[in-house]
Amino acid sequence: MLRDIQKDLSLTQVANVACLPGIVGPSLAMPDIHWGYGFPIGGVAAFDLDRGVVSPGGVGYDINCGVRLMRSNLKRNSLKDKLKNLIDAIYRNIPAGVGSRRKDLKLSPTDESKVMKNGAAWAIEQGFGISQDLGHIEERGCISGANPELVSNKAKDRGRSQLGTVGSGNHFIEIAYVAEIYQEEAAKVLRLEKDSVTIMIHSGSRGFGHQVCDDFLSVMLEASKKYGIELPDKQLACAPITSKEGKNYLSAMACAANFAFANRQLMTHWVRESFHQVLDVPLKELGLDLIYDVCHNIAKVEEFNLQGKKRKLCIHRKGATRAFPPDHPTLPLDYKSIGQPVLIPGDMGRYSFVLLGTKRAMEDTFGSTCHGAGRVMSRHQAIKVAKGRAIIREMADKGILVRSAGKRTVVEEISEAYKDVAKVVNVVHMAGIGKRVVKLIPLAVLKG
Amino acid sequence: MKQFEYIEHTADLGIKVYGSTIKELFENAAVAFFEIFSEPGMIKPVLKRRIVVEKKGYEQLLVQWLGEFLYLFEVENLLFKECSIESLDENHLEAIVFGEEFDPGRHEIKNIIKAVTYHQLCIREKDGLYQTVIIFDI
Repeated sequence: MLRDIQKDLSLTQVANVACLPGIVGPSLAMPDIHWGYGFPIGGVAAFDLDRGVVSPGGVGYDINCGVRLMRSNLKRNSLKDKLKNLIDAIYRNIPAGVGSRRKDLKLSPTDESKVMKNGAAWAIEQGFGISQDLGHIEERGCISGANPELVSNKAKDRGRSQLGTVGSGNHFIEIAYVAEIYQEEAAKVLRLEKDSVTIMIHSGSRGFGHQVCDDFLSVMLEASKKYGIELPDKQLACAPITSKEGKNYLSAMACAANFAFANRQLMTHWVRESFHQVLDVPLKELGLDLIYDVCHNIAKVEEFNLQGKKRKLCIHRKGATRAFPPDHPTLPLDYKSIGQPVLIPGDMGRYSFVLLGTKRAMEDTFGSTCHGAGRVMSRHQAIKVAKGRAIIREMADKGILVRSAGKRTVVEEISEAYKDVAKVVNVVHMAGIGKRVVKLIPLAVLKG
Repeated sequence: MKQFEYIEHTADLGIKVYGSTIKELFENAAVAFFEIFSEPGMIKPVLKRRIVVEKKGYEQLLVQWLGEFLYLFEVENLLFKECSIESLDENHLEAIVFGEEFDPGRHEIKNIIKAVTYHQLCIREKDGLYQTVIIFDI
């Protein structure tokens, strides 16, 4: 893996981040590190609140791109004949792919402001989900400090028709089953048993977040000049956290993060509805409860213990997951004994993992761990490698149904284009910055 | 002279764009965008849009210029095939773009560009030839 990492500029990017003003401790990279823009993907860095900077390039374009996982009372065998109908129902109920929009969800500008301010809670107030969902979302599905007035009309325009859609590229909705359990007790707390059916949703803030990032990159390029910050790469454009530009970015970023929380919450509701429609079983009996929802691209203020002193820092996680340990004050009661669930999706043909946050992560990596497999092939290369192959058929032969809005996406997302996520997870498990709990194997996937 | 060429980038897609003038560089960047995003040969120039961009410096202008095509696709469902830049200086661009509404039956979206990045972007002029790298987030 180290040899692969050295092939591109990602290590230079880690070094570049270490040069930014006010960084506290090391510029970190998780084992799924790969070449990003500005910060590498898999990069984690913490900044002093008075002397440090905030950078949109340290969060990424898809602000609060993240993953959520639902459990169920269903066992893999009970779905055998229904799987096709289930994934088709999800495909019908949740728009995916390029240019996808929702025709049934007309968001007025006032509604959109509420989405930006309240995140997942907005969706639940509208009847999309249950209040118990909130406790199982990072930050309870709402990052504070969101101010819709700081978001451009362009971002709002792009967001309005895209709320409640999966998007494209590596985004997906996946039905899987628990193939292996590594920690019986923890799995019990998560209410996951061998062969239990799970559903994973991977999506973010869609065009809304991209536009917020884009708008603020311009602002930050000017701010960097104004505050005399030298940039080894323009994509690292940043501003002091205490500056107007820095504060405004954090408020606008919170709007996009909340948009993403609401987005995943809406899709959760439609997944539940799809299961209910196809299986004709009451929702209560299906037990499609939210296990957890984590952000992969975010900047926020968190408290850490540094040399015996409590200190608040602005932590950037770009392609990294928060991994808080047992007894952390932000955890819901039911997870206090085990730590925060960490969801690590793999590629569509292999497996995904559920991990738990650890004390070691808190000490070594600002409560952070890896976020996924990471690509080893560009999309172009993947298309070349897959030439002449019927990928959907290959997947079906492996027992995995694939639905996709775009033919190219499936080809670009072939397993070989990604690192083996088991290897990535193994590294974080052995390093002690995430504890492996279960392995999930896909049964049916909806790709963007 | 080549208008543009592809460069490899693991997660995404990059190009190197050329132009004998700064205006041509901007036009060729648009041509590259249209070709990467869709199949310009399949798009009819039946409608036009005026694009006005105000930014500080050519690099920010270039990112915003291409960003406009993304915005118009996502919000108004429009695909483009040609452009004509009417005026361009360091802080201002005005252009007309031609294309039509996206029809999934007739048009293919080849690469879903999600953003135009500043990563490695640097407009340079050497011996009368302008060039820059542009990396797209896809």
